[in-house]
Amino acid sequence: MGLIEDFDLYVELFGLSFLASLVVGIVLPLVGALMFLRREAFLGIAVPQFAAAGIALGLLMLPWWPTMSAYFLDHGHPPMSYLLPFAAGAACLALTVFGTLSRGRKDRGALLAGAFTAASAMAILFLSEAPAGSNLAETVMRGEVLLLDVHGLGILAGVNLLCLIFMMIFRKVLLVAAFDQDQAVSLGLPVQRVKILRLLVVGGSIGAGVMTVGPILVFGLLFLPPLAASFLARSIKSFLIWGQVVGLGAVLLAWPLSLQFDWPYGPAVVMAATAMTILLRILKGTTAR
Amino acid sequence: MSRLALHQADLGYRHGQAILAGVELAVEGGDFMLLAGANGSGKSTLIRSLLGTLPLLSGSRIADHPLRLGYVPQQLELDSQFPVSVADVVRMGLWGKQEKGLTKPATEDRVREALASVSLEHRQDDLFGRLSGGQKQRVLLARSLVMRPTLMLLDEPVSGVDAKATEIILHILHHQAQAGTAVVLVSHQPLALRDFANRAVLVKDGLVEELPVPVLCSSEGLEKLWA
Repeated sequence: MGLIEDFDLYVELFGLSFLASLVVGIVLPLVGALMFLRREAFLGIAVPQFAAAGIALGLLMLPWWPTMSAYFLDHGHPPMSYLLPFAAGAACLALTVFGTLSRGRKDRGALLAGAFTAASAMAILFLSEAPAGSNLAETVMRGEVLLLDVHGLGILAGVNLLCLIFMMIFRKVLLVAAFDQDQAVSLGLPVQRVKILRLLVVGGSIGAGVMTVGPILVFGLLFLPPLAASFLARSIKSFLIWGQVVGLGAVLLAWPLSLQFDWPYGPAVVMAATAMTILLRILKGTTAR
Repeated sequence: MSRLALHQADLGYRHGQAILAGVELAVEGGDFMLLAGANGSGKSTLIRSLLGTLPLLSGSRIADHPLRLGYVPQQLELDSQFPVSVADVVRMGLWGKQEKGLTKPATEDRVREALASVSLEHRQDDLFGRLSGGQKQRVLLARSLVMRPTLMLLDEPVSGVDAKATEIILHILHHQAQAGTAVVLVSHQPLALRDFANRAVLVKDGLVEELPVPVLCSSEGLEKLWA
């Protein structure tokens, strides 16, 4: 079956998933850029893993809610609106706790490794006890974006739109505070209020991403585009633009790779983003000489 | 004329003991105030309390309105990997509430003007992290000047900066003070400031004491400072 000949069929089968990939390809690199600028890129690995543990907890608790269990039996997964508070709540909690614990510490790497291990263990333990969870969770963790339905896309798009609007409205506060928090306060900017909002929308965006497209894809889009952008950026604007180019480029490039080689979509995005990051690093090396 | 004062203020960090107690300090337009003290004496605590980023443990901070606070941190405290151009850094000085409504051309004019005042207009498209320590400090000074401040608070602006850059920075600040801006500058090199400062404050043993500039810069004053 050729890619071009069966275009209509692909659109019918994967249309929703394609739209979801565009949503995360636009928003997550910006969220990752913000973390990178705040020197919190390390949180990009711990927070999605906590969101995954939150989802596992939600699946574990599913039998406590008869209506949710009934929905699960009908559809093969619980309502996304049920899982979102678990995923986003765990992500917000992780952002808050690590943001506080890691401030000014030199052993952030050890803290991150411990947190990542704890979150992974929690996810495995919760899923082992969840009567309905293991198959669904395994599919999500693999980054099989193809399972997404219209409700999942709605939630993903809604949460990410909120995140995008927040970042656009408060971009100046976010950037000054990331560079020099004292300066932001002296300018009379609402640093504390924005900090709380940031935790909520970033946690929500990561939680919704992990819940719908899987942690692998979220890791990849949080880490790699800003890293690649940092090689070539000469200003904040070019940093954000390069991040977007790599993020969107990776989600688009991953589709033919995934369809042609039957790869799970999430890892295909990460491989595409990795290749682009390496290329940009080489390009930087060439232009620097 | 702008005025900022701390009255009966205990300064320090929440849940900790006061680092400086009973502080009485007022600064107003035209002052060029040197804050001197040994490492760890509480100079930065005092600056951050004046700036308003560190809440007072007790007492009050009284600021006249409209107060336009220009802040210059130590360049070493900032992330040199931050992907930001020199012009970006200066532009951030115009992102406060008071500059809302400034058009883009007006913003760019102000940025160029501020960079020209520190003789770095030719570096505006360079990455901030690639500059030398002295150049970074001048960019941060331009970020403060761009907002046309009525009060400037500077934390060790000449620390780790070569003699030529130190002279440029101090002349700019002196000029600002003469034009009516209040300048408060932390330094552990009081001798470099002897010819510029018109007020001097010693921060030592948890107390803040104002001394005449020649006294602080005398051998006895320096002995007291470092004892």
